[in-house]
Amino acid sequence: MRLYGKVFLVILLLGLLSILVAAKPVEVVFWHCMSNPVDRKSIEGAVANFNATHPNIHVKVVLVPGSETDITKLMTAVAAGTGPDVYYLDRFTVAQRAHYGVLEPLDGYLTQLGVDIKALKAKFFPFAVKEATYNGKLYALPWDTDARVLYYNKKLFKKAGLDPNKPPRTIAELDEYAEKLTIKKGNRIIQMGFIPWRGQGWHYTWGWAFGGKFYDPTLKKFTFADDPKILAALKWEKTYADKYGIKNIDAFLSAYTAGGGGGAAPIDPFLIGKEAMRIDGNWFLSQIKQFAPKGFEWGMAPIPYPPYGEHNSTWAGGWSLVIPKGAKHPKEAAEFMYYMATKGEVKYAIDTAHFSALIEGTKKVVEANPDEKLFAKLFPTAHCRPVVPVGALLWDKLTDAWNYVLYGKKTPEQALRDAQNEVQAALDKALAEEKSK
Amino acid sequence: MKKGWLTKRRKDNLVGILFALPWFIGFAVFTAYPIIASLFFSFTEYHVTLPPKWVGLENYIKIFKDYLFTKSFYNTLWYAAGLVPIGLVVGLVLALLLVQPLKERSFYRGMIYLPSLVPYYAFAAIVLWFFNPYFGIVNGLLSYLGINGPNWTSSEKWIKFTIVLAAQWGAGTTALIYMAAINDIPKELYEAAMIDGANRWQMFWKITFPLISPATLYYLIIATIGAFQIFDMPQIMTNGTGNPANSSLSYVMYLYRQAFRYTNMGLASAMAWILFLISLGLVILIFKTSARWVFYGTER
Repeated sequence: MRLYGKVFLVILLLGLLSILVAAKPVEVVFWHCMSNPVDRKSIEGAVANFNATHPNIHVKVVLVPGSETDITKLMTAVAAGTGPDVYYLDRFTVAQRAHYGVLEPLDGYLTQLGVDIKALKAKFFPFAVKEATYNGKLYALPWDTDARVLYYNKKLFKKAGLDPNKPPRTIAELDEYAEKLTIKKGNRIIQMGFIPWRGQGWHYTWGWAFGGKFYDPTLKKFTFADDPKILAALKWEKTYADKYGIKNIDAFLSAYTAGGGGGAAPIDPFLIGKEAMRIDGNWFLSQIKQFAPKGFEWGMAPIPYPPYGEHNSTWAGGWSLVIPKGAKHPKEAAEFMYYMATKGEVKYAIDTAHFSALIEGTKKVVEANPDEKLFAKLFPTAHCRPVVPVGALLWDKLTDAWNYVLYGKKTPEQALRDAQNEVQAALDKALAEEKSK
Repeated sequence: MKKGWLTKRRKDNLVGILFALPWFIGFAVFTAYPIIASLFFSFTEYHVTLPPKWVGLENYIKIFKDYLFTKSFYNTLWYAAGLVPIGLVVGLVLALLLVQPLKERSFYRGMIYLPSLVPYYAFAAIVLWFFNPYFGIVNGLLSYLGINGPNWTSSEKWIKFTIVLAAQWGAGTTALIYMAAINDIPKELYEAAMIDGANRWQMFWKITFPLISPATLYYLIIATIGAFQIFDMPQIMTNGTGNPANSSLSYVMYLYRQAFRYTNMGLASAMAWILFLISLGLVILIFKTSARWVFYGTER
């Protein structure tokens, strides 16, 4: 009996203790960098809802500085063991951060919570899940997303004698329209028809529209220098630099966009009717609605492509939620993230009209804004950037290669070859480190 | 107690050290330790969140094979070759103007120094407007003279020069140092020179310039170190890209990119050490030659 008594006492004590522990909510610290007031308020609202419905967890939101690729504060905090439990990370860097041990894999925690991971993944667009997964493990829950399309000015189309309801569908049409829509006075460009590399006309945008492939995930080899379609895309862009004069284009662009396109952007030439067509993201739509002058008429269309290219081609990025290494309460963090990436994300989509990586969220956005249907049509087949631990380097080297060609420093073949050799060497090194771990 | 260990002298020393202690601790923790640690990291593969791995000289070898390292180093030399001499001339000319006995002298002094107080970010944004090829005031004025102004901020040939020119907004600091040095020159020297029939030009080269040479030495050292570390202006003006075609990419911009974009902290540390050694070498060179041209005004 005495033994039973002791066991009983211990169980009773443990029970009491667990009540005590449960009574005090676990604090989950959540860092994000969405300083835009609308986005920020929506996130805070979702967190408040979560806190109200989960009395055992209290989430504390902290706004921190950061950007797509600059996560200095997180890195130093994780190294010092003072990092948050949940962090808001650009999805395209998930592989890189996971590779270097900044992130916790989520599968274990989600399974503990009784989440059916397969069913969860099916709720998101495929590209978002692909980006959030590294070496077969889920490292992030996708958040919002974006896509690229062709914007064009209908008034300028009319003036040039083009049908404003027939945007260019092929590269040949695009070239023809661009020429008709360009007005020059001497060497000075007064009105620009189209500049392929402008706005969101990145290497990836055209590489994929031309049907090219940048990376082979099974062989872990980059393929862009060996892909004739990507070479064709680059050569085609170069024809614009030659035809209109890279210097004249640069003068035109720097007049309106100031240097590198960041920092101060004085006047958008598209909005004042000086640029007839441009590839840009869905966020550009809200800028048009906000800043365009009265009577501005514009249209949107899928990105033009060559006969051998990809119809309805686009690529998508966006943010995600992750658990950094050394998080104090990873399990509770996972519970919060699961809530945010599902219910919170639907609320965020409605509040901010940002497209959601969650299929349901994007549906809600389109219901509220029928003029954005085109994007929703493109998401299911959208590309994501190659999921590699050297994603930022790959981006920069591709950008450099494109610049070398546009400025006539290297032949397209040479530029692509040099970039591929360099990025492949960096990737091989990163993968070798992983094996030796 | 009277003749204990704590004599007056020792007590004074102790108090002095105690007062300096906060600085010592700050220096040791936030300056000395990071410097030494970066030397160690420069021989490792280090990504912050994983423990560093010793790789010997690999980072150093890799850097010298890197095209962008060479390019950014060349750009930085270009910046330094422009910034240091142009800054010297502009600062000195401003100082010479500001020591003239004018009534509104202090007003002008304030005006010249004011731009040095503008935050870099705001300043870079203004520069972009100033040198805007279509709407900027610079090309606007040039067009009055019938000159077709260049693409200041978007041409590979001009961007570095534009940044060097723009940096002269900060010349007020140099002017201030020179002003103090010029005011220290005894007036009798000029009176004597005038009696001997020297003109202004001769007075400048024979009296003013030699006597402010200590200030010039100070300027050369500070400006050289500063020029090799140029970062803010090109970083903000090009949004970190070093556009066009990496022609404005400075050494420290590339270092920053390696450290915080690719998290190659080991490589970035190696780059920092190379820059440090180069700067150190140049400063030693300036010091060594200074014995020949710096004149301290007192007989030693």
